[in-house]
Amino acid sequence: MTKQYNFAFFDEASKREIRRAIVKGIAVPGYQVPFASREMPIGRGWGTGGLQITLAIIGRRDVLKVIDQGCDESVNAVNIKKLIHATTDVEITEETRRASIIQSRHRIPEQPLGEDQVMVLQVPTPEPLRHFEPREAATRVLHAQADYTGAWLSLFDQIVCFGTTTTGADHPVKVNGRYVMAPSPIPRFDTMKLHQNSNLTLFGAGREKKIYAVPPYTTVEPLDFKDHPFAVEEFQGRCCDTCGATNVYLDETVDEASGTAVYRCNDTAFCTQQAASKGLI
Amino acid sequence: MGADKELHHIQLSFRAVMDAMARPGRVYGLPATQGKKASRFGLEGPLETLVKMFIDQAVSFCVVAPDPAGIQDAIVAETHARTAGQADAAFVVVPHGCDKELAGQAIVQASAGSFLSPEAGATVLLGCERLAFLTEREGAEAGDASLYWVSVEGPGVRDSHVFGIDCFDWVWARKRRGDEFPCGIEIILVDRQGQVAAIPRSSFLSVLAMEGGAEGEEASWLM
Repeated sequence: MTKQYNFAFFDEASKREIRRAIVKGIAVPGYQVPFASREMPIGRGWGTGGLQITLAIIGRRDVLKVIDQGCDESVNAVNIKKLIHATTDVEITEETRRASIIQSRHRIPEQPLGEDQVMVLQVPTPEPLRHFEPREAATRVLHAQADYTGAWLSLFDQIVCFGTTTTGADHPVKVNGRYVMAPSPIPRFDTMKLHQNSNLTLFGAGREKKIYAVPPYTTVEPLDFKDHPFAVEEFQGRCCDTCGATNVYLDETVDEASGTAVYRCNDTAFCTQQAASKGLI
Repeated sequence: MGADKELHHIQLSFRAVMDAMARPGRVYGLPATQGKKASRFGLEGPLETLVKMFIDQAVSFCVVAPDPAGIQDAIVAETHARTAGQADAAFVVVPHGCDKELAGQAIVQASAGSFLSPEAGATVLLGCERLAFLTEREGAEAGDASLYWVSVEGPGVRDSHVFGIDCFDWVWARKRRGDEFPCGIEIILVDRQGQVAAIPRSSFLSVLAMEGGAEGEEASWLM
């Protein structure tokens, strides 16, 4: 590495500020801690929140994995990896189990994470109450008073209009029985992976300047109603066309030759590993 | 320590503190400092590492000691942080060997933040003589009654974490605060050997065994 930047890009004062926010975020699970989001060499909305967390915590011994929509090789993931590697020289991996820090947009890996791993999620809209309350000052008061009537009513409205909740991703959750939190746009399929999980999960919203966290072994409950319980995406009777995996989050594509729907694992690293272990590739 | 060396030392130390905060009551080790040199702040090395990790010109702090001026001045000179009263400081530094009553008072008085801004609750960096994790408890029960055993429950803990510490006045002081979550304080305990444990505001504490370890004297109080 030709040294052109401080280790991990940031100056030490910036790291200190982000680290302070991380510690407070862990101490108050689900609470959005404001922080002074820095200008980054990628545009806001492209993962700057997650990137700032990763840069503030990463060290020379870490092994990093970055995924975007389940894929290690998408443009966003590759560029983030390049920046972090160029300023830290850390090892980059696609293997979930080998990574000590996993930065992700939209997915939590299929392979369960261990206690020694940190999950960093990029968050575009951290405020779960933003849909019905556009004023930041007002949503802060609602959180302070634990007044989540609006969040419940939003779900109720969806049920009245469509017969079910229509939150495809980012379904609001209650953390540790206190704060309603946006779990970032992970599919509902991944939401329950946050509940009593063994690893620390950190959320970074660069544009909205917020950091929050779900510590290990913390209760995370999706908002739902007794007669309309929370349900994840259904892939009943379907399996991955490449590795044959079932009970995983699948992408639907169309086979252009036959015109039929084809399903593949969304988590590409998991799919490759499964296919290799079965001798399919 | 050179600037680069210190940067990596602080990063590794932060990861230990972050893990400690994420798993309250579990004891982690700060990395050892190579070629120890005299403290610039007049604090024990591990506590000085925590000060450098968190305190800078953007936050306020106070030092709790009979004569804190020397340490405070040194920290201000190095970090450009502001000093503040115990009730207002973002970081409350309690050096090793500090009078128990002073330390308890500082914990009671530390800022709890507010419902609007719980992150404004203070972080107390508390120096202690010795910290030990559950695995050392068997030895203690066999005769070494120099430690009090504290059980921690809450977010970050699957069942309970038990750690040993040489003092527990801070536990009572924390209980006396009577904070209503999400208001409260974080306490980061660090011993002279660089062992660190953290107690976030979301944790529930019980003191399991009294000094002396007399049979039947084991007590448990929820805080």
